Amino acid sequence: MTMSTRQRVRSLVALTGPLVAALVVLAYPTHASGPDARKGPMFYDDDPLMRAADTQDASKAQPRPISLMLDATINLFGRPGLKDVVRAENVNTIDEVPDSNWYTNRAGTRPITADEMYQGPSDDGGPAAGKWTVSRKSNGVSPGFTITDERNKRYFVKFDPPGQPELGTGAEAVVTRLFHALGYHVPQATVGILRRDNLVIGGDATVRMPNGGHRKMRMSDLDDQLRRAERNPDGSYRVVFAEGLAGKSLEGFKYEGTRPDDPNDVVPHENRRELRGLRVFSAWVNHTDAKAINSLDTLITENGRATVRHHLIDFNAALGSAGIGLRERRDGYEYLAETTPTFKALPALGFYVRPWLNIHYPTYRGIGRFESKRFIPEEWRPRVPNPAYVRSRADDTFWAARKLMAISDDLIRAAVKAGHYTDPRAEDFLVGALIERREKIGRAWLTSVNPIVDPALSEEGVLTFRNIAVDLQFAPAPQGYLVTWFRFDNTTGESTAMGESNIGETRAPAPPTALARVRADTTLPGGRGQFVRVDISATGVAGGKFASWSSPVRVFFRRTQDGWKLVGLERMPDAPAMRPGLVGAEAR
Amino acid sequence: MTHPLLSCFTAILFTSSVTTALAQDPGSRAEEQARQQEAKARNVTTYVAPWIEQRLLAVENAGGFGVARGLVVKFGDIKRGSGFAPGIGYGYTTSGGGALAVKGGYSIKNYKLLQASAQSPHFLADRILFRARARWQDAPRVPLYPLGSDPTDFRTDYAETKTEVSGEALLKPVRFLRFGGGLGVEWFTTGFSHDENPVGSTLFDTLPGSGADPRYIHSRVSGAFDLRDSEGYTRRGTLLSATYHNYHGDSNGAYSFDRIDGAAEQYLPILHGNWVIFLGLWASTTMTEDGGQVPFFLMPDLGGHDLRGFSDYRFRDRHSLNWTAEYRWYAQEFIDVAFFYDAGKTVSTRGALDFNGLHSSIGGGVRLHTSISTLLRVELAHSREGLRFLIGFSPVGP
Repeated sequence: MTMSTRQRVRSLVALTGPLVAALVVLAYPTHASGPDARKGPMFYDDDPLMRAADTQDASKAQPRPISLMLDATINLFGRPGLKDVVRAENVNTIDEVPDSNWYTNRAGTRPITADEMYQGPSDDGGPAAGKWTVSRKSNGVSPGFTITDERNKRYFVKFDPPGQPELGTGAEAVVTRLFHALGYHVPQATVGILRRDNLVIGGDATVRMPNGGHRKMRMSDLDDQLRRAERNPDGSYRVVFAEGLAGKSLEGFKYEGTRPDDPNDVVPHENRRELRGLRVFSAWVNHTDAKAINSLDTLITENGRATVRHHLIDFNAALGSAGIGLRERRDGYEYLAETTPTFKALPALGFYVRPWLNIHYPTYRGIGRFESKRFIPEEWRPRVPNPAYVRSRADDTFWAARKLMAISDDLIRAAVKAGHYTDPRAEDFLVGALIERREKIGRAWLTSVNPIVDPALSEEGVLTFRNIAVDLQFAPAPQGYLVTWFRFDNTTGESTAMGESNIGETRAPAPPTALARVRADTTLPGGRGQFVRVDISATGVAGGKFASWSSPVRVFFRRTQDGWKLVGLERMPDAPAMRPGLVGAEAR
Repeated sequence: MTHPLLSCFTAILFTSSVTTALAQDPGSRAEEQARQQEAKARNVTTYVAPWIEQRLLAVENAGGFGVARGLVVKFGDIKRGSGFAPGIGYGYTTSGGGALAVKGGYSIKNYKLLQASAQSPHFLADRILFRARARWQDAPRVPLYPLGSDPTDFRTDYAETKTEVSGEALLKPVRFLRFGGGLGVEWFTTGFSHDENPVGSTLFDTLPGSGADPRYIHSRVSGAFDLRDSEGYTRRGTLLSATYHNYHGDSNGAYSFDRIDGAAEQYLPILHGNWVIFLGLWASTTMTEDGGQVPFFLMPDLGGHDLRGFSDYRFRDRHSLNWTAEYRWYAQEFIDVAFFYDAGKTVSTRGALDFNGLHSSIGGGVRLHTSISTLLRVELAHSREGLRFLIGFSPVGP
């Protein structure tokens, strides 16, 4: 039997047509794919998410040593990480950082007592009395070693540099407490006393030799370490005991990219809000050494699942200390290698005098080179550019500055008390300097973007919000606010204008009860599950410094059975992509 | 048979429903994030450090670049005036902290070096150290000028080969004091092969020690009071040092002599080191028994590294004196700029060792350094004999 041409074509189409059609459908971008397509509703029922869970098993994560030299070189002379600076990727829909293995909301989220602050990250008070077994010594420039007490608890022991009593140990104890209160995972650090005759060498303790081999540790190895430490007149040593962290050490994390062996690490580190915001906290306490090797990832098991917890460690090079001595005068003011001041200084015969060379520092015991009068938050920088810091946008620094404002004077005093400074004048000075630096940070970074906070919408359609910069008296009140109302379609993402309200300043004279109130000049959607979007901007702002206040903060409310619930907040909704700058993100 | 168009339509419906199901909205933010993590879990990889990071980690774990370990590229350390001299070395550090190293170098001026060295571990908490080395160095064209305090600018070259086996002990009882002592055997061979230059040949032949090829037992002791931050680079501090050498030669002691080198250096920081005034004074003197001679190639010399407006070995005689004043300023943590003034002379009698009739030079340059070492000096110096461009890899001084 022979087939006609028509029949043959028809058979061919019948056989291959469905396959081709299927391929075309597969190849054609659906609504859920493509870079610009929204993948679903803008807000889910569980928004705003307050905890970012690690859902995958990370037990295959392996220690990843980081080369200090390479890390420093790359960051000094390059800009590792993503080229475009966009909104931090790990914030929830109300622009906050959910709790996670990176960060836990503490100050500003819940009340912290002075006792809690003094206690620090845990209730551990240092090693128990008795013999302490040394298991490992530091290979770094600072002396130190690991001990285990008779309860089998492990500690890393750090010392003060020679000639600088209380400098490094004080900084470590104080900054540990402040950073813990600010939300970071840090090991407990307790100031204590160590006596040589209290130490015994562990049976399996070894030291690494320059040729890469190991030999059994001797007492003389410890003496080498002790010789590089400040010794008390009675022969003992003031030390800080850093509590051993739970879990297997995976070495540090880099401030850019992700760990390839951690399935839960999906947000590039340079785009993490808490790492960008760390710039603000580091500026506050002059923590110029926030680099990869001063962090520590540990593999922990929680709820039966192995996950990676990310810690900040080593704060003995903060405040006025460099860990191994007094802080360099340059620290905090200029990178180790920075072109502009270098080219100014090269031909100037020495008459280009850096402002930081003239700074006067106090001489109180344990304080070192720390002060507040010449501190300029926006210009502060670490020793080496940090990939997350150079991408920090105004909304990142605002977030951090707001957290910082929750650290009250009393909390600062409690943290400083844990530094056990023997000179009360040193303690007073440090408290005063930290308070003044905190205020400068508030003035700088709570005002650099529209500072509307705590928006709420009542059942009756009354919108309230605060201007935190005005509340804290960092800025004069604007003449008024412009509030624009939109109906918001959560499925399509479209907003439809409803009305506009101009309100005068309604702020009460005394903070912190000040609230701006405005009743919607339009009828709000009535049904459950409906959304409204409200854009809030300031009008008549004083001077150019606060020009950014006229750019609206965009907030979203969803009607629930309990009334309107805040589900979204964007502080810089229309900001274009920026670029990594000298110290923070800069406009392209 | 089903119509083909109907088959296609059915396929489209089926495929579309499958893809829709696969791309379905997560349903919650938590699920959305879980999906991202799940997707990454399918592609988890172990981090493999790139080669350069592995090498740097090995260096960092070994304690830095100063620790000999494996094959390394080396520069310099042949006789002064060799020009750019790359080389290759191999180091091995023992489990006790001692080190063994071999290296070879070859310069653009055909200078050659072979060396094997050993270093003990640091004993008594870095207070005592022993070193030994066997070294062969060949310098085929060393600049040679007439001796004296104001010699003519006639220049020729000579060839010098030195072979050495030596050992030394270094003692540092406290941070600012150090002592040293060393003993070694040194062989020298010198020669002149420029037949086309009879004047040069005559000069060479009339110099003490030319062609004598002496062999020495060289012993030395030294002491230093050193308040500088480090020997390789500093912005403050004082150095006072002296070294006594005894060259005991064969040939009936005709070329035996003693030599003393002294140095006084002061670094004065102004405004925390924004400016540094550096003053350095160096003197060398030699002594012989009656009738003894100091071979010209072991006489104190000036030029190049210390009297920078003059070429290497420009002045040479039994005694030398020179001083330097330097105005240095901070350009950056690793970069300094400096202006300097050098003055010095060599003389045949110790009585003439004064500050009269010094040859001088001025100049300026840029230094690249770390907190403890000078990595590179690029300088331009001027003297009555013209302009010189210098590159150095160590601090100023002999």
